[in-house]
Amino acid sequence: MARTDDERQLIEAAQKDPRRFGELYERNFERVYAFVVRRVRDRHEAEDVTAEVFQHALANLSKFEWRGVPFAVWLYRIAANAIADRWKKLSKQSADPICDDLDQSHRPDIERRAILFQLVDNLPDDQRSVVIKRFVEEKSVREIAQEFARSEGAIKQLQYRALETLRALAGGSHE
Amino acid sequence: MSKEPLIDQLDQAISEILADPEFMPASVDPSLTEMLRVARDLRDVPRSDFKANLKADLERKAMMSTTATVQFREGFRTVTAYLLSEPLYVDFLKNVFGAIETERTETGPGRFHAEYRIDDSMLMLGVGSGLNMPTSIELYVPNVDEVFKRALDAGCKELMPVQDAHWEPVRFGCVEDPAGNTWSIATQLGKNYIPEGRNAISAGFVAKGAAQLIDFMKRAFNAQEIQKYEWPDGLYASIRIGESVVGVSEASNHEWMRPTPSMIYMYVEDCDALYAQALRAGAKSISEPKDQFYGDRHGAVKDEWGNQWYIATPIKEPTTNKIAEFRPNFRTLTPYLLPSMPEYVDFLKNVFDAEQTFRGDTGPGSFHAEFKIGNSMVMVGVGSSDR
Repeated sequence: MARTDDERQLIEAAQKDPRRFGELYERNFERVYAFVVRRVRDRHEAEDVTAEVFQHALANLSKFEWRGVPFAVWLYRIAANAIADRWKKLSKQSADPICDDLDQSHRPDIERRAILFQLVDNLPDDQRSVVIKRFVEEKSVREIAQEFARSEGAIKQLQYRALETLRALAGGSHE
Repeated sequence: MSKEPLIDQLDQAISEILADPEFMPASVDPSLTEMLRVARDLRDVPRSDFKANLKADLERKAMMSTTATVQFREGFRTVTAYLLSEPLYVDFLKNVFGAIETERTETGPGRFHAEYRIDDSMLMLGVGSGLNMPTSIELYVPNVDEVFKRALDAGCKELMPVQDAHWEPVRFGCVEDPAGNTWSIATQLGKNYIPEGRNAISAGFVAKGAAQLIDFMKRAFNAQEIQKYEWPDGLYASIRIGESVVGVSEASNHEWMRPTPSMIYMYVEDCDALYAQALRAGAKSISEPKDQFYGDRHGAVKDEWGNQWYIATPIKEPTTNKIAEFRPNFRTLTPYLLPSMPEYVDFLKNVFDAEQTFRGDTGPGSFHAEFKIGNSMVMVGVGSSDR
């Protein structure tokens, strides 16, 4: 309940002063990105849609009415519409194909990956750098080792520690 | 089960997951199974700079939405560098950087305030005061090599030859101009010579304790850090203040990295509020906010690095702009016609749809009249012998 009240206060503050929107963004960025990235073709499109969602939300925040539903649900709806619009433009689908995705049964999966994305940011710098190079830039261990002037064994060790840390911190969410 | 070390088994499995998201190895050590589920999700981890850049973009939009009602002067953003110089410096700005003078106001014998547009940005200049306060300017141009050569030919001292930066796709060099100001001149390589989010001119700050200066800017002016490079004993950061971006560097022993306090003119929504906020952040007052004859209300503060911040809000038409006090529809120059026949008035009405706004007799058979044609005025003296 405290979190719900807190979120309501943040929304009302941002409606009065849009410069406060940053706090809502920080709370929800990973959720929106996690929602979007599995529903579009590639990382580039995921970034475009995510940007579109938050820009739309900022521009239309005054229209948001608090009804006790998490702010993220409103953002998911914006994201679903944005993706549907893209699909229609590409003539891939004629109907809204992801309405079902807004079903609450999908939320634990989104939350799990959103938490994981936040945990990556909290890794020690060297581990986080290896994770970003390996999974975002899709570089091989050999390429990362050359870039960081470290041995391949050292990079594999950092990669192992990073994943072990993430598995432990994510708790049972990946079981 | 594989006998390979766990770190090798994990890496091999990650390579296969990256190549095929559906892949789930059957023969890895069981202790790796959960880590590989994490690895599968990590394929979708967002780029950290995307998150930061989007946040900066949203903050800029939010800031603009809150300041949209403020009518800043045309061409000006939040931060404008103010240079002090002698009269010859004007020619230097025009010849080397293609500066276009947009405003000049005499402030005393041999003294004037002037404003210049360079590309999409503005500079302010105080000429003839005898004061000197060399500052630092960052300038993006289409061809750094050409501008750099012009600068040297115009008497600038080379502080760093033009070279490619190793940290970003930028070619840049550094000169000291005849007034002692330091210019970092750069061209971003690629489609646009100005990096996204930047403008042609940015005020530069070189300070001992740059991190503390950045912290001051955040507390005093709601600044946001949008990019930062750090190295042992040094840093460079791009800092957004309102609609402007400024560069902040840690001072060093390099000639082009010596501390250079800047003089800054800021346009903000509420200069009184920001002046008070700057004082709370540790700045010292130079002058309290008050209405100025040229149409701005401003106060000024000095920070502990010696930078002077003139914090202004436009309040009204400048009182020095006499045009504002003239009669409606009149501008500075009005043609005065002396036709030989009174029928000329009908000619103006019939041909140009002239609307007579005033007529007064000036003698037997003569009169003065004023006509509005479109958005301009014409004066007519009929019956006068002075032709």
